[in-house]
Amino acid sequence: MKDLIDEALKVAPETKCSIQGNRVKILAPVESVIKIGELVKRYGFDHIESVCGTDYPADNTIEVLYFVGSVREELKSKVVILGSRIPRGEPIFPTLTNIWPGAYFHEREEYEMLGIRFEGHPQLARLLLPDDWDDIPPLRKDFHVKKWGAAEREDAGLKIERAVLHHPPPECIPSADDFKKVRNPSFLERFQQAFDVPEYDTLGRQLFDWVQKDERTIAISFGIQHPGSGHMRLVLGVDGDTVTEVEPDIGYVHRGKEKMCEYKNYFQNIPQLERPTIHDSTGMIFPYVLAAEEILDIADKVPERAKYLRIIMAEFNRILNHTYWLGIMGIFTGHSTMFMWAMGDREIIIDAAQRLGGARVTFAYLVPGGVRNDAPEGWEDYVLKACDKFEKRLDRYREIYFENPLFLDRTVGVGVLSRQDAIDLGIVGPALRASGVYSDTRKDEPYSLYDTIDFDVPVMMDGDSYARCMVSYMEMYQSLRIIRQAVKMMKPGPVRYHFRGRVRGKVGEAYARTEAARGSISFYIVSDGKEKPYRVKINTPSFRNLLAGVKKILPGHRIADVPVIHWSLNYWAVDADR
Amino acid sequence: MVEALKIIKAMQSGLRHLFYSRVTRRYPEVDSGLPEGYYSFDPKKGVATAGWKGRHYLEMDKCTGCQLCSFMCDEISNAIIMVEVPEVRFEQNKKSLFPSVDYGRCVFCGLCVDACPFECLHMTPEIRLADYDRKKLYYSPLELSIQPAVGKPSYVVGKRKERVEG
Repeated sequence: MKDLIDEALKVAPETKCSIQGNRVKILAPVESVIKIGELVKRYGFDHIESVCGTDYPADNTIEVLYFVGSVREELKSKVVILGSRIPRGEPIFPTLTNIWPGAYFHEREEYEMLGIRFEGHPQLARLLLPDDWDDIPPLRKDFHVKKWGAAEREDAGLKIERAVLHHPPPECIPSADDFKKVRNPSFLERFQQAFDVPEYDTLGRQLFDWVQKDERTIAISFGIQHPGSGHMRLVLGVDGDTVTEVEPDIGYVHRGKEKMCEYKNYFQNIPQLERPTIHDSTGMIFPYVLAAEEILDIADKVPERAKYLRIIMAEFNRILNHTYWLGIMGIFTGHSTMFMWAMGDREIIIDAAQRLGGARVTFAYLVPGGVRNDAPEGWEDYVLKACDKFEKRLDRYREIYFENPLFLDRTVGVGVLSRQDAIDLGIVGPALRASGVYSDTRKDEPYSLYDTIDFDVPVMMDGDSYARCMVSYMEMYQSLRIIRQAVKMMKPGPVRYHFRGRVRGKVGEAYARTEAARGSISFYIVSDGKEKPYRVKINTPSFRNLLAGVKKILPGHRIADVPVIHWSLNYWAVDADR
Repeated sequence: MVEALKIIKAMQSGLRHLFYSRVTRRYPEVDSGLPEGYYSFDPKKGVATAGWKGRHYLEMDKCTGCQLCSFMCDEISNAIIMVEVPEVRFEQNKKSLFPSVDYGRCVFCGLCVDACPFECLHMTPEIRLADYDRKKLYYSPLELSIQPAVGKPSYVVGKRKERVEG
């Protein structure tokens, strides 16, 4: 890595470089970012992970960082963080989409969240926020969530104070009648509202113009109420029955998780962070916990037993996610039996997980410093039995689904994504491995004792919908293998580091990535030494997969294939919107 | 021909499933199958006991009204509100402040239990909380201190202390 830094210093001598473990941070002046970007790409970092902007009002600057990984064997474990500081009043940054095409949507997100204008970006437009948003970009530090909208809440009579010292039920808790009063305007008001259509050009209308290139093309909406789309919309330009152009329209379930994280301490963030992906809840908080431990300076104090329990819980969640996803895939290919079986068999794993986590889906089991509780008595035997039972059921899926000619007809050769495209667009997870790339964060950069466990990473070369299904299916076998080994390797001992006093982070930043069920997921946390994080960047696999993938894969396919391709990418709208 | 055979094989596999035991539970008649333990936190060890995170159980005789559960919940779901219960008085709780939980807001993460330094808040396998009125989802401290019929208390749940008169 030293030679990369030397070359970067040759291009721009004022570049600041630092190596911290596997992370190489290169802070270059804005003018030479493109040159250094090309250098980094030539060196072998070709897999874009994330783009993150951080607002620093004290210095009057905004820091824009590009996180770039690699799929090459020797560079897999490393991440280059390339970026620059730009003035806050005039945030103009050269786009790097020419170097890493996968940065397309990441840049659009940072554009609307921080107001950074990426010069030369092909279509710099809104992505997640509502079309009528007329406030300042929300991830700027001068945007306060709690002040915003407070006046509206007071008008509605819903002012909620913290400690109200009386009993029986205080009036601040709204009853059903109050909700009627506030939420349902009268008929006349509604009538007036219907004619109050503002005159801005919404993103929805723009998207229709974008896909409608000529007279032969018709723009149609796939979603948002279509059961096959999830909470999002694909605007398809169709010529006859063939899709010619696609523009995804997301943000319908955007909750501003990144902003919410700045208002909660490192423990309070856990329940809210697992909400976006409820059937992969541990996969979502795993990287957060790893990054938070780095910030809280306890990364080496996590007990060994806790690490194995974390692995078990994460693999439970991988199975839960894949069975759920396989079930819905059955519905999309017209195979209801698969749906019923997958949903029924999930219960075997849920039963084992709920004995440990105390809930069915959102366990909130991982915390900085370890896990919440130890396994109950006799749980190990229960898990091994559940694994055997589940594996028997998995074998049956092959007969009824994966060798079924009806399923093969729907998926084989449909939605092919080539290896090079998958790398360029920054695809992750089963979709990347189905395109013939051997890339799994558990192997690339082993975290939490994954390196002590023997498992394989299934890879297929075809890159079609069938390969993506098959990779996920094979992954479930590997998850069972990991769980069995981890259960046997666990030794009795403490499971949680005991914090004393107030928990404060050190000043600094941490970037942690893990392999969630849908693919590589990463958290970037900046801390200014207080109880709450200064900035949290969540980079989810769904955001990287669908947005880059659908635009590349869908054109050329027929409308009937859209749901199959869409779901084979394992897209979850809430995961992408955050 | 091979394809047809494969379809028949798939159907066979499905038909065999008819003779399997049922996956679903007939819930109200049959037991829910939830783990029976209470979720309680031992502040000395800093570890919780494995159990189901359902309705809370409050040991009023241990609660000092320190509000730590409420502080923790503030930024999570704002479900815990400290209320004054003048008719219940214990030596350690001079102001008679106790937590009350609004289950219309609670997300059942159990971090309030982890925040309690006096082992007085527990979570139980009681899950039947649904009601027609939103106000009934608001559980006062006195309602929370009733031990539910289901579940086995963890070893952390202690003996009751006597109330102080007056």
